[in-house]
Amino acid sequence: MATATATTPDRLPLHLDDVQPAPLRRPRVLLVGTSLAAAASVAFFGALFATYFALRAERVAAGEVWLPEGTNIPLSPGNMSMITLVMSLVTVQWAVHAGKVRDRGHAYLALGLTVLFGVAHVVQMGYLFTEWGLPLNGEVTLPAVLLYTIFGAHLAMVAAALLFLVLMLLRSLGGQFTGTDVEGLSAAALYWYVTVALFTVIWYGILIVK
Amino acid sequence: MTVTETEAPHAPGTTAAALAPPRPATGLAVVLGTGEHRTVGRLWIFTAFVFLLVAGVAGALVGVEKVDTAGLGDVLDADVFAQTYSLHAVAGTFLFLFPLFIGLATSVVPAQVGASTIAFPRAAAAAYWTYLAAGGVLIASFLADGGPFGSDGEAVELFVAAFVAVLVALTLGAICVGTTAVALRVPGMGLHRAPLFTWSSLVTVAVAVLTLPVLAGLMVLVYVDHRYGGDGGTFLGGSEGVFQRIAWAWAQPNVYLFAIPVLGIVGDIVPVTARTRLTKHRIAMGCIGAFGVFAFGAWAMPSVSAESATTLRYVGDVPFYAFSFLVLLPLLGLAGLLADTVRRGSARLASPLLWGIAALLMLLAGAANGALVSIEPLDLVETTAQSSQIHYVLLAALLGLFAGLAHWAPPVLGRVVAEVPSKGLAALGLVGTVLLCLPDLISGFLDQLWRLGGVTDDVDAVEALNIASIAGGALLVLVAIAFLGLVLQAAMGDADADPDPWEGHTLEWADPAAPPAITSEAPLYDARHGAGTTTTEAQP
Repeated sequence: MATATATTPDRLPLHLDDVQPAPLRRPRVLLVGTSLAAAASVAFFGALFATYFALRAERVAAGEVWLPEGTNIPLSPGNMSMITLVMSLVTVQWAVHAGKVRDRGHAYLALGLTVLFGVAHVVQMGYLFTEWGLPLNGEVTLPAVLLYTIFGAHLAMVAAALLFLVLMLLRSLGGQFTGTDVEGLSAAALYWYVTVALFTVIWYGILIVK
Repeated sequence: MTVTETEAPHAPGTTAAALAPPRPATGLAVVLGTGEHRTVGRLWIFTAFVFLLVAGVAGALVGVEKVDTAGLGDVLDADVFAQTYSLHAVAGTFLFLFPLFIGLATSVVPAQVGASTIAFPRAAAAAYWTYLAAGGVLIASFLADGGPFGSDGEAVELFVAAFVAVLVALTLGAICVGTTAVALRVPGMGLHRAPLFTWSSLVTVAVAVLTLPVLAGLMVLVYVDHRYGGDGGTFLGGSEGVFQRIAWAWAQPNVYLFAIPVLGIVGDIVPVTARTRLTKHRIAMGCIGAFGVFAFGAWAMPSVSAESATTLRYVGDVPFYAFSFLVLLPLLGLAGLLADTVRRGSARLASPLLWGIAALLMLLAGAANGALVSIEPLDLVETTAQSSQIHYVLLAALLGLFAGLAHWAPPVLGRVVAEVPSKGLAALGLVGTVLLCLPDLISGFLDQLWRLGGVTDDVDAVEALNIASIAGGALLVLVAIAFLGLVLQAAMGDADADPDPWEGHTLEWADPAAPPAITSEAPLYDARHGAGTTTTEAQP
């Protein structure tokens, strides 16, 4: 198909009817859908956070101790997780940029590092669960119910965000999004940013403040 | 499977047989594998009607039980009464009303914005099938003595899990609709030119996306608490706590979420039946947007606390007062614009207009009722005046969605619903709604409690009012069944020869082969009256 980008007269199209109009510029469908899904995720965690903080404030105001005796929430795993996820923000943006310039090697490397950081976060949270002394069978307490729900839901979100990233990178490099259009990867990166932002609330509001 | 994103290129040397187009799907495969938005929309609509029957039967049992105010036990014992009430409320809102909106929007919004398909068609289909399966499990959990107030722990957990799945499905369906409205509009159709139903769908989606996940989050918490919390979930109230953590979703102000689409539906119907343009399209959009803001109710959820809370915890607080009264303003504003449109045009008394007028009137009544309930000295919270407001608003949503079905029957179902019976049903629907709600409002002033049947004042008067209310409910059930009959009749008949019997103004009525230029919010009206062209050239 001849295109309007030809520069020499002999390469101009013979029939102007053959010239395809430029693609219509639309808001990006996947990015819009992901934004709505991200908003829904924030609302979901908003409910969990609101419940946690309200119940904690209620107990503290009543003069009770919030975390039961024997509970120990160490700072190191949470801090390391936070640092790990902040580093993943850099690598995920690196992956988007590499996808944009169709640099396959760097895109795979950046995405691999992002996935590695995500998995490291999961492992660190698993370690935290073994250390904090909040059983989910036997002597179950209200903080245990809340914390396992919040952390479990966030780990599920991390897994979903990582899967989304991998899928979008493969589709992007497979030619699904052409040229500089890396909409899918940008959408997955957006969801990853929201995932990390939500962990920031968990890190400060729960792990630091306790 | 009927929808694919790309077609794989044929390899060189492929035989002619391999190049033959695949056989089109037939029979059940057409339904099971489809991502075509009209088919998926119809599936949502018809399934919602099935769940409406469940909600209606449960509501009838609750109504009969409330006739004798002396106490429970005439028909249902206290636990079963509470479970039946919960089933009525959950099925009526989350298995019927909101899914009916999703179905209508899935069918109509893509056509209104000039898109050939809904955004993420596979996700839209997945949302429907999740809703169907989870809705069935949810009903089954009640049969197994689960649900709110259930005594079988595992069945209660089954209810919570199924309810979360329903909420996920509704959110996913809403995201597909919202993305279509934002990202798939035809060139030239800025958001300010979007049809009012598309706009109201977008507002509904925005509020729903910020509300339904809140409910889902609370349900996940309740599930973990119930399963692992010990002694049936003592921390968050056990199976009774399940109801407390759902009830805010249909209390004021969140109840208005279900009625947002009504404004867009009526806003699209009135100019068409009045054969003129809508007065001040953008102001109408502003009214719908403002109504959406006042419908956002997750902030007012009463049950964050572990303690038992009333469904209107914030009564007496300034924001609650403000929201309860301010919500009337956009409604009155839009009603004024629509009245002016009718005055300027030459209205025909078509059935969609009658359904729409009934819906708008009942919504106004519900908002006024809500303002009354918010006045703390009147002490109407937890009385039947509160359930009256909820019923006014939800039934207004029902009447409005029926208006939408009657209006968009040709593009959605293939032909118009029978006009004369539809007009009669619209009138009966209005009568039934008033008959159901007004007695409850009055008996609320007589201190009848809304769930437990207790009454402190004039018992005879309250019992008479309850009987009138039951009659209204029965009439509405008959209206809904009869309207379903009309919808089925329209869906199963041959397609109409005239695909645009109302002379519609927006793109869903246009001939796909010759779409009009988008010159305003009413491109077909422009084309008919010479204000636009009928070319297909893209607008900047």
